[in-house]
This record gives sequence, structure tokens and C-alpha cells, in this order.
Amino acid sequence: MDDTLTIIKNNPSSIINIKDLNDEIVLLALKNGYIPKKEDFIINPKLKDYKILLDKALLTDSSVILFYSRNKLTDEIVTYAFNHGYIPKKEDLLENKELTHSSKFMKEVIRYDPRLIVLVAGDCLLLPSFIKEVFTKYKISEEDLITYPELRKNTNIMNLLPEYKIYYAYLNSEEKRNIIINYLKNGLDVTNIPFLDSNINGLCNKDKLKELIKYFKLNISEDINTQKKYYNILDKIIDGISNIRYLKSKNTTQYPDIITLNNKISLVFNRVLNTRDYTYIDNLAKELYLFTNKTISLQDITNNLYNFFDSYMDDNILHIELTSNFCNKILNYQRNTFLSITKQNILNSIISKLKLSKRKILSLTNGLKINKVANLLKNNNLKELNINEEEIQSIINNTKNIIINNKDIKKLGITINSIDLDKLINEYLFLGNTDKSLINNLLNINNKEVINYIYNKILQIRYKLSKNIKLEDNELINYDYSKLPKLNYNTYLILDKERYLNNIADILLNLDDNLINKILDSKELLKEVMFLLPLVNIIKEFDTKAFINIISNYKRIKDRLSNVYNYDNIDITNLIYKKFDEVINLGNAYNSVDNITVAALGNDVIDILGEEHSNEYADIYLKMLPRKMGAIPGISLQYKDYYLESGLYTDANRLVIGKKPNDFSCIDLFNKAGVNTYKEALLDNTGDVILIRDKDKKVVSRILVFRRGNIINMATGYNSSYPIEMYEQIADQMMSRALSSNDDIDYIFVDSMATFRVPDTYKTLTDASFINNFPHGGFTEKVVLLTSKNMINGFKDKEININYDTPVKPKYFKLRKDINYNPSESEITKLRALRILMEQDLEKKEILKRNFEPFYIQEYSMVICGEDWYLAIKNDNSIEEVILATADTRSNLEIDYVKSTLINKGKGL
Amino acid sequence: MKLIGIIDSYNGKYGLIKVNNELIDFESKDISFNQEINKNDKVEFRLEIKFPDIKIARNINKIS
Repeated sequence: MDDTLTIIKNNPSSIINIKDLNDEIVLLALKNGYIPKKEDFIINPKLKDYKILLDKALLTDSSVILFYSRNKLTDEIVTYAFNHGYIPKKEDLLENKELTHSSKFMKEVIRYDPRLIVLVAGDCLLLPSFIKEVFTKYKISEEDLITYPELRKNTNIMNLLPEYKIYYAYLNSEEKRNIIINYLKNGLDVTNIPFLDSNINGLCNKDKLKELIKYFKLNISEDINTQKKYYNILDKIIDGISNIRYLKSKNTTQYPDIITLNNKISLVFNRVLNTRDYTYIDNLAKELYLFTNKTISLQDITNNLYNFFDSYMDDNILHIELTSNFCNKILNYQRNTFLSITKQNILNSIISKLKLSKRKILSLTNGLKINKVANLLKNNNLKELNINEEEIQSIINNTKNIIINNKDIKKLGITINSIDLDKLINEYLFLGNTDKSLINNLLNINNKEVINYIYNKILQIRYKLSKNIKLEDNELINYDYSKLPKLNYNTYLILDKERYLNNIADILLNLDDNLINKILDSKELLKEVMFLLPLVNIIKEFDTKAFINIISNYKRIKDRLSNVYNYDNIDITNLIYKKFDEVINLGNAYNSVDNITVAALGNDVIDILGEEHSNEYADIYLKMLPRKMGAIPGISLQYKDYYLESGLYTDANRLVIGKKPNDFSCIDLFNKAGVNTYKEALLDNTGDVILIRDKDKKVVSRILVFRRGNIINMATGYNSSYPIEMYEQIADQMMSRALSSNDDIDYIFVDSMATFRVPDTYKTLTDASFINNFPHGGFTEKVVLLTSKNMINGFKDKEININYDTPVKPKYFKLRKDINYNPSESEITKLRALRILMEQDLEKKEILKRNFEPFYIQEYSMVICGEDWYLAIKNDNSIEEVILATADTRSNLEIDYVKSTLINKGKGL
Repeated sequence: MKLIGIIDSYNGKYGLIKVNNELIDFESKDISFNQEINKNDKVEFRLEIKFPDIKIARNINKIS
């Protein structure tokens, strides 16, 4: 070091050769006359870390401004550079992208040359008024948007280019879906959509997508034969899904197989022998009677049981061979009943998802109109009927003439009196009394055919009048499915173009190149399965994901089933019609995530995240595990029916903050707009998240929390607001902890959009720094002050002094879970899985994976675990000790403590 | 559970492993370190069971 200083003293310019710079060296160089030049910063980029050198160089060469990082730039520096001859050049800016994030800098650049607006970074905040002014001088083209990816990310600019909305990098899934459907409806090429194309904002290679989309083209016809065909297919799909639900129910059913049932009967018999109380058998009979939903007679069941009991008394063993037929019968009847009830439930639930056929709508609409006419006539409301007295009288007279002069009636010797007919018409039309018996009473007619004829003829007047009226929106059908018939292809639209287009949109939004390749692997067979596309998303088990699982593995599924069922060239109709449940199950299994990942994250978390990206989420989780500290105080409180908790950095549920409260959020690992926010909240000292759970302890929502300098700010993202009182409680807990930790947190805010309308008693602030200094995620310019250091001590804040440069130090340790002396199997299995996933040596990791087994308590006499370790004693007294590589010194302390306790208890550790 | 079986079929993308007359599904991505695997190779692997009773082989290693 002394040598370095000596060199600098003698030859200050030699600083450009020194890699390990420090303040002393820099100041010494300057003191000894060093004048930095632009080239020096290129030769030794470390020089750029020193603002003092940059400022010095700027005095002689204004283009040095390119080397400033955005947080070193001030208005003065920008102004100085531009006033002293700095000319922004496109190539320079492309090479030194750092400054394109600075709104101060880019504003001046664009003022100089409006065309350079195309170089702004996504997060460079330019005011709409400024942008509009620039647009009068330069119009951004489609080519610009394709060429400059950061431009597509700039929300303020894109908001002012509605015609190019499809290029915006941060469209939410609903906006994307609508765009795709619009393209499909108008016959446009969806492969041109920027958010699908991997060259622009998407995940799919355009040519591959083009090839795939051909297979989605189907002829969606509303003709009755096609509807009937699809009705039959849907019926088979429902059968398959009913079976899937049955198989799922077996996990929780009392008697999943004949052995369990046989054992139960045997147990009951044993009890009877011991107690001589035969009511146990009668009770079992009743239980089985209910189990089969009363489809087997109680007498039948009782007789069988008593017969078995007679045999049982011989040797006190209930042989399965004796009871198997009976047990099979019970289970089969239960299965059939379950399937039948499930199918009915599915059919009932489907109806509400289907549109009515045009035919049915017409008939319902006509019915409604006729009812309206009847009411209007009763109320003599000719105005709304769009008819006057003369016209209606003319129609009535016409009808009267037709009836009175009807030859067939006259042939029967029946004469109809005009005045009596008037009375009848009056009753029917104007009094709303349409009883057929009136025809007999008033006209003295008994002939059934004549009665029907007159009845229909008069009521036809209503039908004629119904053509004059329109129904208001609120009069139109609000489908009351209870009055409509059960599922059939006449009433309901089974094949529906809108659902078909929605399904295509949904599939496209879930594709990437990997999946497209997999799907195209089966391309010669796709036509065998694509006909199912319009039926996706009617029943929950056959949703978009299940369909993608099928088509991306179709060849493999077909090969597998032909192997199982020994078909040489499996009959495709049989495959879908009879084996639909197997088709779905195989598709899901083939695209399923590894069980080790499931064990590590937990089923609940995987269910929310979905299986396809669980491995990537698991990678994030592994990064979360070693986190021990943060710069934001954690909280734990209950607010009404909600449980709020933060600071639990290793809680796997934190991974779902992109899916709760809904999955439109951009704060997720796979959303370009919010991925940095996601990672900061989960991994960095300056970020945290408050998980909000309901009474069942399920995560229902979250609040993002960030620390900048001496403030904390919170946001929820849009469409998610909570009462200010809840935030106050959060803030009070945080501030109390901050005070007792002697932390420099002076203010705690919440974004104005995260809460309901705030009373005037609360102080609000509006400043662009609340957007600029916080990551993308629902932070706006306006915040509400929840508490401050002064407020919590009972003082008022005369003024708010936010300081973003206050050093932020992690002071808050994550609470460790207590040692658990009775952990569940899944807790230990999770630790085993995590230990494997954290292994750095790839070969060792693969071996560990191959040997992975879930933890089974029956193989162990004792198991104890902590947050990141477990200790288990096998039945053969061998010891298993697993400690995760979280480098938390507390783990070893805990294990040592447990071991010493066990030794003291004589456990021989 | 770790098992040993014989490759019954494999087309470079997916295949089946035979274990005691039962066939277990596998995909090429589950072959450890992209080893070359051929029909009749003896392999060890971890068995996974997916709903309702679909057997999948993971972390497959050729042993002869």
C-alpha cells in the first residue's frame, strides 16, 4: 500500500493502472495534480465509482457525463454538461445504458433530439405533458417498439400510444386474452402479437407457433347434429371425470378396499364375542346400508353378516375368501352410487356455464314477450304495445270473423254469438283470465277440438302483438336454471364459439417454446385429440392446464394405453370415450413436478403456484432459506378475522405472493414487470411481505413492504385495499420494534391506493420520489403517514424529513421455529427434501435424489426437529442427523442442547 | 423408493422400465446426466407414484 501511495505521489496519472482503489489513493492523486480524462475511465472503469473524479473530468470534457451512474447525477451536473457542449449521440447512449434510466438526463437528451426518446429505459419517468410535447416533434413507430425493448416497458410512454397497446410489455393476462380473442375473431394472424413472439415480449418462437396454431382450427357449428355429437362426447368426459373424483374420494373413504372392510367386520365380530352384544353387528349392517346409499337392502346385508359371524365363531378368523364377494358387492354399489351422484352434480354445475341455444333463446324470449303483452293488455297500456284502439279492434274483429265463420265449426252445427265472443275475448285478453272452461261457460261449447281452436286463435292475438314490442335489458332472461330442463343439446349450446376462442387464448398464454416442441412431437396425432378443445374449461378437472398436459404428451399417452390394453393400433374413439380419465391422469402425471420439490414446498403451495414452474420457485425458496435478517421489523397480529405476519423469511407460503389475492398480479417470478419486486421482497434486507391469512390459516392476500433510507412504505397492488386502522396497527408494531432496536426508521407510510378513503385527520404526502425510489408494485406518488418516531412518542411532526440516504442496516433477526419434539412426517420429509435440493455437488445430489424417501414414523423410535435440522433414532438405534446448509449457528446450538437432554435421559447419544 | 429394472422400450424421448412384470414410465429428462440408455440396459431409479396409481421413474442411472 505504501508503495502504491508513493507511486501515485510521484506519478498521479498512474492511478489508471491501479485496480484496488480507495479514497486515500484517489485524494492523493488529485492533490498531486491528477486531471482525469475520458479515456482514463475507459482504461480503468473503477475510476467511475468516484464522483470526485467524474466531476473533475467533466470540467474539461462534458461527454464524461456518460460515465455517471444515475444516483450520482444531479440536476446541476446535467445542466452543466449540456451547457458546456455535450451532444448526446445514439451510439453513446446505447453503449452506456445506465443514464437512460435517469429522467433528469433523458429529459435534456430528448429536448436536444426528440428522436432519442426511443432510448428511454422502462423505469425512466417522464411526465405525460412532456411526452405529448415530444410526440408533436417525433412520432414513435411500430418499428421503434420492436427495436427498443425498454421503450415497450415505459408505462407513461405506452399509455400515450393506445394504438400500440399490444406492444406494452406489462399487459395483464386479461388484456392479453382480449387482444388474442380479438385477433381470432377478426381472422388476424395471432403469431404477430408481440407478447407471444419471443423476439419481442413473448415466450414463443413465431414459426413454431405458426405451425402449432394450424391444429387449433376447428369448424364450430351450431347445427343440431354437431351439437348432438359433442353432447355425447361431453357425456363421456363427465363419466371419466366422475371416476377421477371417485378415485380421489377413496383416499378419505372409510372402506377404500375389501381388505379394510373385511378387517372392520372382523373387529366387530371380535367385539361381539367379548361382549356378547349382537347390536354391534346390527349397527355395522346399518352403517354399510348407508355407505351404499341404501342401494342394497338392509336385510340382505344383515343376513350376510350373521352368516359370516357363524363361520367366524369356528376359528375366530374372518377369511377374506369368505367375505370377498360380499365386500366387493358393497364397494361396487358404493362406487356406482357415488358415480351416479357425482355425474348428476357435474351436469347440474355445467348448466350454469353453458349458453342457451338460439332456438331456446328465441322460445324463451317469445314467451317473455307474450307475458309482457298479456300484462300490457290487462293494464290497457296500448301505448307501450305500439298500437292504438282502432288497430287493436281491427285485429280483434279479424279474429272474431275467422272464428265465427269457420266452416268446420259451422258444420258441427255450432253457432257462435258475437257478443258472447266479445265477452270471451275481453276475459282472455284484457282481464287475463285464460281458463278454457270459460269457452264452455260463455259460448256453450263442449267440443274439445273447437274449444282448443278458439282458445289458440284468441291467444294468437298476443303473439301478433308481441312483434310490436321489445324487451328491455332488465326484462331479458336472467337464466333461472332451476326452471330450465336438464342438460340436453336442444336447450344448451354444447359447442360454443366464444368458449372455443377463449380456450385458444388461454392455451396461447400458457405456452413457451419448450411446451410447443413437446406438443409438436405428437403433431401427426393431434387431430385425434384437438376436437376436445371447445370442451375445455367446462369442468374443473378438464381445464387449460390439463388439456396442455394431454396434447404435450399425447403420443406418449397413446403408446402407454396401447401397451396397457394391448391394442396394436389403439382405436381412438375408445381412447377418448372409455379411457378419458386415464388420458387426463397420464397427461397430468407426465408433466408433474418431482416429488422432492413437492415435499420441499408443500402441496398447498404447489397447488397455488402450479406444477409447471415449481422447480424455479423452489430455486427461489432455496435462496430464501439462508436469510436470517432484514432491515424491516417483522410483525404478527390479528385484525378481525385475519392473521397478519411478516419477517418469516423462510416461510414457503411467501412464494405465492404473485398469486394471491388473485393471479393478475405482476409481482411474480415470471412477470417481467414485477420480478425484481418479487425478489427484493423475498430475498433482500430492504424488502419484506406481510402475509394475510384467513381463519383457516390459508394465505388470502399480502402487503409488500420496502425500506428506503429512514422510511418504510407499504403497498398491495391495485384492486386490493384494507382499512387504515389495520395499517396503523402494523405500523405501530413496526415502529415499536424499530425504537427498541435503535433503528433509524423515522416514518412509516402506506400507499394511498392500498387503503380505503382516508379521513382528513391523516397526513398525506404526494411526491414522485414515492414512485422513483420504490420498485414496481402498486406504489403511487401519494402516501398516507401512519406513524413516525415523533408520533409514537406522543409528539407531532412539524415537518416530514425523508432521507433516502440514511444508511439501512439489517437489525431484525428472523424468529426461529421452536424445537418440535413431535413433528409430523411431512415436516421431516420436507427437511430431507431441502437437504437434497441444497446439495452443491451435482453427482452427490443426484445420488441423494435417487435414494430419497419420505419419512415414515413407524421406522423410528424418536424424532425431534428444529427450523432447519432433525435428529431421529431408528428402531435399530442408529441415528440420523440432518442439518440444512443455512449456516445458522443457532442450528448447532439447538442440536447440542437436544442431544445433551437426551443423554441425560439415558438415550445413549 | 429405489428400484432396479430393465429398460423395456425407449425412443430417445420416453420409455418404459420393466420391474417384476410391471412397467414404469420414464422420460429422457429424468435420466441422470443424460447418460445413453438403450433397451435391455439395467438401471436403478427412484419410483414416484402419481394419482391415481401412475408409476414414474426419476433419477435413472445405468448400472450395466
